[in-house]
Amino acid sequence: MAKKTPEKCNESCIKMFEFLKRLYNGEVEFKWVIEHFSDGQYDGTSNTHVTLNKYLNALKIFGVKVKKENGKYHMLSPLYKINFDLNDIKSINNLKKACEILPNGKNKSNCEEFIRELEIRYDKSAQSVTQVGDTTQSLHLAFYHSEMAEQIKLCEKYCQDKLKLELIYTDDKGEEINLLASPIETIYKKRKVCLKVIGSNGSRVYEIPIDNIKSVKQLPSSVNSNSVPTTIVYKIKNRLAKNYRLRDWEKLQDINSDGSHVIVNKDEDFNVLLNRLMRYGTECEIISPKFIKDEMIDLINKTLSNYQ
Amino acid sequence: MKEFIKTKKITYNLMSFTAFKALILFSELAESPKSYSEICDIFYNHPYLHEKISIDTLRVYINSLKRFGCEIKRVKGDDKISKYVITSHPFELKYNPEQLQSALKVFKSLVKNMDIEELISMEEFFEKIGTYIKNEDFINEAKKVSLLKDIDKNLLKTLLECCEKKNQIIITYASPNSGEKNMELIADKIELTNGKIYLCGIGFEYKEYGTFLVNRIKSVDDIKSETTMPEGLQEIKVVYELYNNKQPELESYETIIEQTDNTFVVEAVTSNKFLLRQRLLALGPNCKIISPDEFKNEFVALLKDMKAGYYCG
Repeated sequence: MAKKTPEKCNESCIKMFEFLKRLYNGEVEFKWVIEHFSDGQYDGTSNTHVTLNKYLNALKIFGVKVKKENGKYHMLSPLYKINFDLNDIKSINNLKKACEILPNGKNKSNCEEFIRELEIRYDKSAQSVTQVGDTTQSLHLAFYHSEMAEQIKLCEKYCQDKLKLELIYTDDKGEEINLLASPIETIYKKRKVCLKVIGSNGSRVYEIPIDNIKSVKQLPSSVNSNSVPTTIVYKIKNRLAKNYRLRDWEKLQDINSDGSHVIVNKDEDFNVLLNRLMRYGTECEIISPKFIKDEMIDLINKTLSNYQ
Repeated sequence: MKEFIKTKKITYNLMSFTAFKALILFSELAESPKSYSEICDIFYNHPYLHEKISIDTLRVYINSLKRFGCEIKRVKGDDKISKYVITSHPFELKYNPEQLQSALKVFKSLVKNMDIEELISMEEFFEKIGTYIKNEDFINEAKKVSLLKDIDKNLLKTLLECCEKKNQIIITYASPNSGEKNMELIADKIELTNGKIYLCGIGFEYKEYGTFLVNRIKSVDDIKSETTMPEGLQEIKVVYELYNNKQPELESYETIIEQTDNTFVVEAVTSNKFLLRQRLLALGPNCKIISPDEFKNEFVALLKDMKAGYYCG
């Protein structure tokens, strides 16, 4: 069988494309470039420089902007571009802002890489939109305030460290609460950022808005991975049962013969849950545990006392 | 280069024509399939080239692009003419699964802080990225995160426009109680509550302000040129005290009419007593209704019924 002869190629063109590919990954050292174009045989003569300049000029005239700064090449305008419209740029900037406040770690670096891969492929219009100014003004996130961003980073760190916390925070009425708790995660709810913790007593879940947190002290003991949040069971009926949409942390346990639904709720801040169940009026009733049922009755009584 | 900027004339001393042609060929074939004769025309008509290319030279360029990592295919169109096209290349957007998961995680953290327009843009953006990286699973995962999974985005955009203009519209609504029917309303706003998207507005059927689940709206059948309030629309004015150490977050129908240390006197004007009652119930002991007596008495009776439910149930 005849041996297949290798197909004829233009090595210099391949070198230029390989150089471009490197530029897509970030800055490229001049030393690498000159070695690359001289096949690793750079002897300091001007020939390789002339060749390199011709290739750089070809790129420039074609519209690929490559800039040399401090001995490194950067690509300012790429060969292969993606057409991003204004809404795309806003979305990228929203991701970027959210990424900035993440604690250092894999998640942050992965997300930064995700964004960088997009930015390097910006076309002319996307670049000009980005230069015009901040496109995230419509996103009224509290965590854009630098002060808040620092607090979020700290909370993320507490969750990563998995050490018990001694917290002081204020409730809705401005009263200071002391709490021993295990951090779970930071959550974003209705333009608020909360630190979700599980109390050391009674496995009660708290979602504390981070601007209500007055002080946090990390304790030397690790969180107990076996602590399970208390499960709350309640019944909903009539129209509410028909239209109710289960939350991610709820499940339907039973449908009674009268059409009422028995819901099992786990992992929700008790105060948030009680306020929500209050909304449902007579169409909702807590079944267990008893102490939550009593808290609900207490809440109703306190509300009634406003009118006595 | 200075000479080029001045004269716009290209010489062999200035740049590598081979590289320039390779760049042109790459971008042309990445854009759409081209036949040999079309490539010749592009080179011949190019202001800096003015020359045709032989089929052998073209093969050398194509081999070079292939060696670099481009996938080049020969396809035949309806005209039976063979064309070259780049189907994939090393400059394409590529992500590893961890990068995609991190981006989705950040999206998830933002989702409940966005308004609907931002959410639509973000979902469309992720869809675009998913198309570029040819990853259908990523698109589906982004849809799951975005809360717009079962929503017709075009319909949602129409509703947003109607809300902005406060249009009087007729929609087809699949009501869980009375089935599919036409409903007339004055569109007010789109709201995101508990992961569900609602259209809010003044409904003509019950002559009150109401909320309608967007995923139950099948179509917008008519957008009226003029808006008229439904006859018999009855609004109620309720005054209540809010005990709060911070400025309370108000609904669009609420105004603060008085304020002392930790007490805010709020006036609500609404046609939907049910929604207002729900809101005041959720405020619990932090709220006390001042007037009108009828609304206040109904509220107290409801609280007593709730309490009785726990002792008799």
